[in-house]
Amino acid sequence: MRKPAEVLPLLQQLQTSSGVDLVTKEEAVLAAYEQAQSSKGSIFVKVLTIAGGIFSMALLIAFLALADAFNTSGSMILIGSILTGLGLVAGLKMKHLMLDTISVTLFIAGLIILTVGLGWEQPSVTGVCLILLIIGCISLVLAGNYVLAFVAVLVVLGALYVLPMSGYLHLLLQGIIAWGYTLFLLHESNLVKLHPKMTILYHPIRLGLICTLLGIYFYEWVYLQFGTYQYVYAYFPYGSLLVIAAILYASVPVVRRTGITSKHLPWIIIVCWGLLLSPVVFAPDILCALLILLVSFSVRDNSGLVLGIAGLVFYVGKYYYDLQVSLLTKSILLVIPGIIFGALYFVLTKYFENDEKI
Amino acid sequence: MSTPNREDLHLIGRITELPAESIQQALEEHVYRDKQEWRRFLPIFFLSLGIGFTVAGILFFFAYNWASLHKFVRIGLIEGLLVIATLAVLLSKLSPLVRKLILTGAAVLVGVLLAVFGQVYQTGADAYDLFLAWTLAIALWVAVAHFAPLWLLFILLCNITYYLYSLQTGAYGIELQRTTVLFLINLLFAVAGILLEHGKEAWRLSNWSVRIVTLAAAGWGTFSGILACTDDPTAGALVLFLGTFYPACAVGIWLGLQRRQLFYLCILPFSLIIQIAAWLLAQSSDTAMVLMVLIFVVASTCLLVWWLINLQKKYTHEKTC
Repeated sequence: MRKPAEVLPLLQQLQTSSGVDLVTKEEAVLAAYEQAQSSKGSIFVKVLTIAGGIFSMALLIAFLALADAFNTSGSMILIGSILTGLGLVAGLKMKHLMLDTISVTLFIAGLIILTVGLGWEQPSVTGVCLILLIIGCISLVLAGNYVLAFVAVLVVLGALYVLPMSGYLHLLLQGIIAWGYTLFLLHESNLVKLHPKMTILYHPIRLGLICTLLGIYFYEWVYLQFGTYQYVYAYFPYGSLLVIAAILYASVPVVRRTGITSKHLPWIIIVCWGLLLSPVVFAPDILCALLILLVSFSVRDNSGLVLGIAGLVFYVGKYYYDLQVSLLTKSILLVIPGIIFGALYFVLTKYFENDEKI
Repeated sequence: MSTPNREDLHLIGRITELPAESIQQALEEHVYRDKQEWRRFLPIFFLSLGIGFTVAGILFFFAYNWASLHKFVRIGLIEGLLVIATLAVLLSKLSPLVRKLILTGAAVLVGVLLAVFGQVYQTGADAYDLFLAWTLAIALWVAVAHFAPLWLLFILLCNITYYLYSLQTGAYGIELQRTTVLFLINLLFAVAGILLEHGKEAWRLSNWSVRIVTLAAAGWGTFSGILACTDDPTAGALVLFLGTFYPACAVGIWLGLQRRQLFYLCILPFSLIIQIAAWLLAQSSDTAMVLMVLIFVVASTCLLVWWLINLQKKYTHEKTC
């Protein structure tokens, strides 16, 4: 966090580069830093808040169950709605990390009870998903802290994904979420100026998009293991093509930043990159993990980078595990990309060394 | 002059009239990865993928041919890899980090070798024998390499060895006794890690590794506390737990206050909150008690967070003055 003495030089530096008068707003900026500091805690305190919230949520649900509050779907919907609303209000009004435990507990417990009640009352999955989608959108707009906003993003994207739709639309949705993530991170400055609340929602939405992108494929893998929905291989890979397009779009500023000055080389790299990704067109999970890794590294999002690497390792392993071929064929299918990547390493190292010498 | 980070640009962008283009320019200049970082990352990324895929391909090739390989070839292959790895560590001119990573890989291969040995000769040994042999075989490497991931592997093996020993030999039939000993094993390593911080720089372990081991110790300690309330333990097991965990907890909290490390002040009091909640629920699990426990957990967590935030502000203020 900034010391007060560092704020003025910072404003002067940005004023010089932008030509906009910032120094006169020094007091307002200092007040904003102080307010941010008061609501900021170390990572351990945040994890403690979440752990306490989850423990409390389990106890709250246990208490309500023992008190026979869940005898009817109507009571569950009522209690769930009240708790969700109270959680949102608590998050809005009580802007202190200490009280986040209460708002998180009420919000998550309320959502769980509400979802179960709705499912009981309204067996139609579409109806439940649409209601949760509306609640998630309202919660995202009203959310006053990081955890509530993060949970709201997961509710919105999760409800959208679970909404019954054809295989084509499901695949397209994956691609749309991937594009949403890419544009969200690469156009950060436009989002900051869109609305003051975006600076609070930026990190939870970013993390929510990453968790959804990686989580939907994990969900599908578990579902496919135990279900029969084989759409991934039955339909044209619209979603994967959209993800490949997002990767290529995200690669353009990367190629620019590596300092490759040749006119045609960047386009050659982009085309080669696209061709390299084509063998995994039926593995959108690997493509999404690669996208997350690329974009997270580019914008210096370390948590996204770690999740991207973990996702890439997991989904590549899953890809080869699920391949219905002999061990010898798998061995060949592993060594060939290994050699290609090794060759790319040498080509890049050579190019950068020559470029440095020049 | 300090450069603006992401939080600065978000805050200033929100409060002032700084346009989006200037924010984007500042992000690209001061926050986003620059040319040098990309030029370091891309080769390492492709090299890691290349090595990972090639090694996996080779492993799959051997897996395909495994059944038809002679037993000497099977054992010889792994021993050969081990020898090559250790020679690379001893004689190569690679950076110390790469050599330590190779040694970690070699330490994993020791376990693979023992497993293959057991598979080939069908020794019929207990599983804990394998882990015990593995632990002892790599102990010298762990002590000499002084590499945090290797230490964590060693500690993990110690935990698994003891756990399997107690299950398979029935030496400690009481669950509380088993979990308390696991707590003590991890506590020993955590204390060693903390004490080494005062030693020579070369002997110090990274903060994150000491914290992982402390977390493991706290985890086993918390689980033991829950068992002490719920499992009707023997007097001996209870005395062992009470005589070790709570004094260690008190020392840990004192240490956290002395060193101004919020990590210990977070996990240890939270462990106590969980144990008190478990004790209350063990007395009665009717509706009124669950409500009381809920209020206790929420209130105590809030108070703990409030105390920690105030401590953090105090430490930050003392640092800036």
